[in-house]
Amino acid sequence: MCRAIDALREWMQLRARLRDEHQFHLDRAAEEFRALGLSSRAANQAARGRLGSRKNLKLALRELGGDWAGLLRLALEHRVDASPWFQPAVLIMATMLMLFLCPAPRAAIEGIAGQPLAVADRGALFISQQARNLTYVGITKADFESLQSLSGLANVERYLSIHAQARAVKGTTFAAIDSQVRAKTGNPRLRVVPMFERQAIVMGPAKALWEFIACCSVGFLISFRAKFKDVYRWFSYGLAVGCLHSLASLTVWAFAIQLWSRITWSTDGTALLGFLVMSMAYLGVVALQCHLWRHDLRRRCPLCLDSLLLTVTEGTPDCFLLDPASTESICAHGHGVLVETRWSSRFRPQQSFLQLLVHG
Amino acid sequence: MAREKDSAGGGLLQGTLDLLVLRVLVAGAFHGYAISRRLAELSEDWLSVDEGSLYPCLYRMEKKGWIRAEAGRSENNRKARFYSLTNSGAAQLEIEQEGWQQFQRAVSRILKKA
Repeated sequence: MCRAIDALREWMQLRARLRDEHQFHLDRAAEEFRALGLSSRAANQAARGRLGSRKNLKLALRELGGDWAGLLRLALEHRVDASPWFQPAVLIMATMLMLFLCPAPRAAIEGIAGQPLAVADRGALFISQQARNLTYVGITKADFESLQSLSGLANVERYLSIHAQARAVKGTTFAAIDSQVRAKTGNPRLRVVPMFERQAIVMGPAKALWEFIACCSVGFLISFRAKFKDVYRWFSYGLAVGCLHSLASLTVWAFAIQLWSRITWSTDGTALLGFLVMSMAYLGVVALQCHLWRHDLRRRCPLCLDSLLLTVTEGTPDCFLLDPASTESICAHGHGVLVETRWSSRFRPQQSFLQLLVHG
Repeated sequence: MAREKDSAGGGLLQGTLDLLVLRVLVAGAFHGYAISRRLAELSEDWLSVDEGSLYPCLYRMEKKGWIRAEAGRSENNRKARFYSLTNSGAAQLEIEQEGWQQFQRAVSRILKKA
C-alpha cells in the first residue's frame, strides 16, 4: 500500500511538473510574439497555435503514463484492489464524499451515530402532534401551556412557531417524559422526539437509508472482489449489479429528498408538484440504470461473464445491403462471439476448429 | 517526434532526440524552452521539437540519470527548471554520437554503392 501511495504521489508530481513546463513554454512563446509587436491576446493565441495548446501536454502525459489511464495501470500494477486496505479506504472515501455532498452533514452524522455530537444538545426534545399521515402538525396553545408545568421538562419554548421544544431535566428518562406528556395533556397524538433525531429526519438522511446504502457499498465491494470466477458467478454478478443500482438510486433519492425538504415551498400544491417532478426524475435515473445494466450484460460473455473484447470489424459500411458492416467481439477465453450488425445483434457459440473442418 | 517542415523531412529518427538534447546541454544548463529554441536555431529552423516530445524525453533522461534538473529563475525572473548534463549523460552522449556516426557512414556507403 505504501508503494502504491508513493506511485500515486509520483504520478501527481509528474502531472504538476508537466503542467508547469507546458505553461512556461506557452508563456515564453507568447512573450516572443509580444516582442514582435502582437497584442497580448493575439500573442497568446499565436503561442497556443504554434505549440498545439493542451494537445501536446496530453500527448506528453500519455507517453509518460501521467494520464488517467496511467493511474489505472499503476493501480493494477500495484494490485491495489488486492490490498486489505482497499475496501475500508473506498468505504471511508465514499462516506466522506456522501457527507461532503450532504446538505446537512452534522444531522447526517448524528443520525448515523444515534446521538447528538454536542453534549449540551443531548437533553433537547422536540414535541409536536402527529397527524394521520405521520407529519408533525404542531401543538395547540392549551397543550403548550400544560407542558410548561411538567416536572420532567425545563425551558419549554415554541419551536418553528407551531411545535414545542424543551430540555429534559437531568435524571428523567425519555420514556417517563413521554408518558407524563400524554397523561398531562390527554392528547394521545402528542409525540416527544429527541431534537437531533427530528433534525436527522428532516435535514439529514434517515438512519436506515444510510445504513442500507452502506450495506449496498459493502455488498458491491465483496461481489466486485469475487470477479465472477467461481460457480456463483451469476449470483455474484446479480449481487454486484443490485447493490450498485441500489446504492446509486438510493443516494440520488436521499440527496433529492433532503434538497426537497430544505426548500421553503410557498404552498402545499407547489410542494406536491416539486415532489412529483423529483419522483419523475428519480424514475428516469432508475430507467437509465436499467439501460446501462442491459448494455453491460449484452457486452459480457454468457458463459464466463467476462467482457467481450478483441473486436474485429467486417463488411463495408458503404455497401449497406450486400455487405453490411458488422463487429465481432469475443471474450478472452474464446467462448463465443457477439456479432453486432446494423440490423441486429446476436450471440453465437464459437465453432471449434474441428467443427469448422467438418462443416467446410 | 517533431513536426515536419515540408515533404523533404524535418522529422527525427527514433532515438535521435536524446542525442540532440544531450549535445545541446554540453553548452550548459538550459530550461526546456531554451533547449527547444536552441535546437531550432542550430538546425536553421529545420527541426522544431514541440514540448509534447521534449518534456517526456527530458523526464526519461533525468530518470536514467543522464541529466539533472534544478529549479531556478529564467531571464525574465520566472520560475523554471534548468537541465544540465551529468557525468553519465556525457558518457551516454559519446555512445550516442558514435552510434549515430556509424549509422551515418553505413547509409552513406549504401547511397554511394547502390
